Amino acid sequence: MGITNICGFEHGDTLELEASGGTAGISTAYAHAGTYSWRVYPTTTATGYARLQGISSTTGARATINQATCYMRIYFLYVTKPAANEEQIMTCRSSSAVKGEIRLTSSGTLKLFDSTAAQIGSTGTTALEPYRWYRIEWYMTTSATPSTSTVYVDGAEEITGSGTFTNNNVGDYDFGKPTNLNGQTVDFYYDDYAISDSANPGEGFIVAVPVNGAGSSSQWTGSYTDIDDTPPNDGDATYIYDGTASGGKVSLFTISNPGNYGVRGTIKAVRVGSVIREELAHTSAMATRLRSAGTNSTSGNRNITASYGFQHVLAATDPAGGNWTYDRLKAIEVGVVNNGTTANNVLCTYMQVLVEFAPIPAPGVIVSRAAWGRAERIEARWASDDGGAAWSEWFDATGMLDRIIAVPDSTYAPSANYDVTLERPDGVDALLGLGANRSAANVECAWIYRETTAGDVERNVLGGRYRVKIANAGANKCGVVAFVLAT
Amino acid sequence: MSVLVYPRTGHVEETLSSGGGETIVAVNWTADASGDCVDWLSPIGGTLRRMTYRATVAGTGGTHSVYLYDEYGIDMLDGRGAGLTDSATDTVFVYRAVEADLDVPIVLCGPLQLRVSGADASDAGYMAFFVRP
Repeated sequence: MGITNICGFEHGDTLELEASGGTAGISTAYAHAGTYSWRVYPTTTATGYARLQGISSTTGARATINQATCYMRIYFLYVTKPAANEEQIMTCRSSSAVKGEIRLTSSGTLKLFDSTAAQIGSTGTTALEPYRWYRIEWYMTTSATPSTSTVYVDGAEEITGSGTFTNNNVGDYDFGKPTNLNGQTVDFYYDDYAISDSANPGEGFIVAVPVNGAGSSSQWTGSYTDIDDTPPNDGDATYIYDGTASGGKVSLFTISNPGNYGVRGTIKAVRVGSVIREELAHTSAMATRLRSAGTNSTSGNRNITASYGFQHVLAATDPAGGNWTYDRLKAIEVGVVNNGTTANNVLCTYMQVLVEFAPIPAPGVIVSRAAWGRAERIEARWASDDGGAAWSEWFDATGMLDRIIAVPDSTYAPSANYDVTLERPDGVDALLGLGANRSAANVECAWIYRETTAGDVERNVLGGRYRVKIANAGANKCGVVAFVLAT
Repeated sequence: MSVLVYPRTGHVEETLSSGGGETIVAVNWTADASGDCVDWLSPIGGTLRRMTYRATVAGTGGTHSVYLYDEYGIDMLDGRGAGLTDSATDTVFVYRAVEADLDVPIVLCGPLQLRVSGADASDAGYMAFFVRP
């Protein structure tokens, strides 16, 4: 099945959380993607947390994850780590008890503990730095006997070991410092949660895309302008509603261009959420719908309450078939279905479309420079266009060119034998052709020289304007090229 | 001449001194229980001319290897620090042979990671890198 729920805290309040408490809240200070993240900042012995769950397969409501095997991802950033000892940064729970926990030490390293608070495996070796987002992924199992749990940092295995993680399925996760261990003041941020039942979710950014027009069905009263709130929702200020007794009334809406909200690259999941309530308490049957290329994916019916709450439908792949494509995502419709059979109003105040994507960098070359003594390094981070090419702006460079180092990206590896040139305005390559045919897999160093007729070595001295050009790299590929000069 | 001392936790103590047109990066290293020593040196820029090393002080003999990696994992010693004899004191001239009978100097630029491998547990040694700014 793959990804079973995502959350980017993009509703801007606690409505999509199972629970929260202590010194914690929604923040806009740091966000991995989108607008919001979750901040936990208790001092000394205080606590704070947010609890996230899954989606009910029968009602679309927030619900216990209930997976025997769960792969969870969260992006984590700290401003203040424990000054001494360690504190929790996240716990994995069954529906009622802790299965395991991860702690952050005063060194910035991670530790894994099981349900008996016994440390599992070795302390991590990665010292997390402040003000930097780290992708923490956590594999959790369920077994009556000791079983394996593994923690990953930025995709690399950090801690693994066997422990007592209980035989109860994974129910939810607490992010923050839900209990005090050592009286340490901390300041943590969390963003872009995802869970999967089959593999680590991997890299992902989560943003919210609003509705922007009428779709193929408009059977409720009201228009998209009533449900396109800037999060959090505006409650009863504006909403759409339906109170017909015949059931099956549908209103669908188009969505804004996802690219305007940062979506690009591989689309990994789409979660449609409606914030709904009954006007007066009655037996209702509400559903939320995602429609792609004429194919509906609809949540089960939910008997909602008179208080606003979320109902979700999540699609890790296109309901119309295959993986999501950008064009298919752009054309989806989202909406609500009133399957109730009594003449009582149900209200929807907000519709949210969350998109999880792994971005491809925008084509171009970013040049940065650093000098130490009489040596300079010019580093060009490049991403190729659809034609497999990229080039920088013109820049000045002076000095003897010693070497270039070409580093292919591991995720968006360029085609084999791609070419690097350092072009002068007259079109001459200052690399003397020695940047050609770079490796797609390995870091390569090419020494820049020319053999003279006398059998001596001549180095190429730069002086003037140059630009970095990449060719034959394949579409939407990435890498780094560094130029080292003696100045 | 000016001398800068960079005390480090762990395995490496590094001293930078300059004068006479050269900067000398002197390193005292101590291997861990597995016979390795890995640490970052202070960033430096200039042309690496040679490396001298002394016999290790606590080893049981044999050889050890020294590598000086830049931020991209390229060995700035170009392999010339491999297989150093524990009991020897010697000088290694550092250059890159780009073709037969054609050599180019190597320019250091930025942070460098020193890796000593294959020493004996808790073995210690000294080396100095001579850099022309």
